[in-house]
Amino acid sequence: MKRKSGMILSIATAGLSLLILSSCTKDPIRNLSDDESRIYITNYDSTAQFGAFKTFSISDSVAVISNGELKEKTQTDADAALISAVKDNMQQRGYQLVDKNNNPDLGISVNKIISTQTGIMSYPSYWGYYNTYWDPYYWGYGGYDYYFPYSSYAVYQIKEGALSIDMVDLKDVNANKEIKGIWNGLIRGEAIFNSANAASQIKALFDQSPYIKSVN
Amino acid sequence: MKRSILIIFATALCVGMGSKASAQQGRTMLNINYSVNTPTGSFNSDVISNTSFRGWNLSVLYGLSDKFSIGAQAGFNDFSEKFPRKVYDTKGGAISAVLSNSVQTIPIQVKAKYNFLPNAPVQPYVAAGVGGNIAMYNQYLGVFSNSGKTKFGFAATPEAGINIPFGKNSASGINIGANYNYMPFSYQGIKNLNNWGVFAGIKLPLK
Repeated sequence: MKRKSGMILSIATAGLSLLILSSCTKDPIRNLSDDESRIYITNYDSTAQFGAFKTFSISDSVAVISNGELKEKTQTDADAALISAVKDNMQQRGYQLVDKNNNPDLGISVNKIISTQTGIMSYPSYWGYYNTYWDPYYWGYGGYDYYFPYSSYAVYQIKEGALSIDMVDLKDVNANKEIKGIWNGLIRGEAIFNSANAASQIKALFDQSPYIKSVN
Repeated sequence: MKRSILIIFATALCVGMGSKASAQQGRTMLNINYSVNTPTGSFNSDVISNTSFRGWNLSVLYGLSDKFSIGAQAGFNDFSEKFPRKVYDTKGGAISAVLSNSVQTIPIQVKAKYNFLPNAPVQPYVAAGVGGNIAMYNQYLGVFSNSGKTKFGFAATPEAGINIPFGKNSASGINIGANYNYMPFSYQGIKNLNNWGVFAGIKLPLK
């Protein structure tokens, strides 16, 4: 009897201890700072000749896309800081800023993606509805459609907020009435919509995209 | 959590107090150790190089003779490392991120132990555990989960150490030792989670 109770006690002690011991796992991402939490993803069309473009235009507002639908276009201080940072980086890379009515070679838009649904919104579906966020008419190409050759590479899924900067080729719109996306910068993480972080975030996207450079 | 561990120790102590004789034959012993483990080989160079200070092991061993005992052991180790921000090339682009790797190992093994000097004040021993290993691997880019895998694999653990009884006739005592954890784990270029550990703890008779 004594032997049996000792055995049961030892098994119970071992089981209980294991349970407690395995709860000692340190959460590896709990102590990340806001800066450390952020990731910067860039995709580009490897066939695009970035050096051949000379001018660009950028949207004057930020499209807010919630659960795959365009909700509004906003011009907050944070939006202005993002747009300004993209302008600065493009100009540093030798591109000339022109009005969108002056036949820019490149069109750039800034998009805030918010997913409030419990499910997951995948990136291909973001690009699939692009013409509802930025009607090609905005760039002076009414009746055209967008085409993003790299959408299949964007395997990262959006669970909450993301900032997407998209660059489309307006110089080589083809006979199929397609406007091709040639570059995308995606920012995810903590405090990405904070205007104080706009400049460093956009710089990070350009730093990892050295091929964006005009030979002007 | 600390309180829970104290309760376990207290329970084990109460059970152990009644026993005085040091002979191991026919006795069931509980060993609980705090363990510090360091990754070796490709686990160290490719996944995590940081030493883990979050580790434990425990065993329950029955004395077949004064020198030889058999039983079971289980353990837990938590390894993690954060790598500074870096740009990683991807198919068709790049990702800049702070990368974090996290690995937990829970070996559950049968164990045999040989005590060279069962009646000495300091008792050197060798032991070996063989069995399974629940291994969890997770990688994060920033705060986002990039990949993860939980696998049940093989684990072999040779060990050497000393037992120091609390008194001449006490079956309870202190454990100090070192072990090597051989743990194959094949996933996304990872070959194994091999590590070596040093540990210290107490040994108590359960009956």
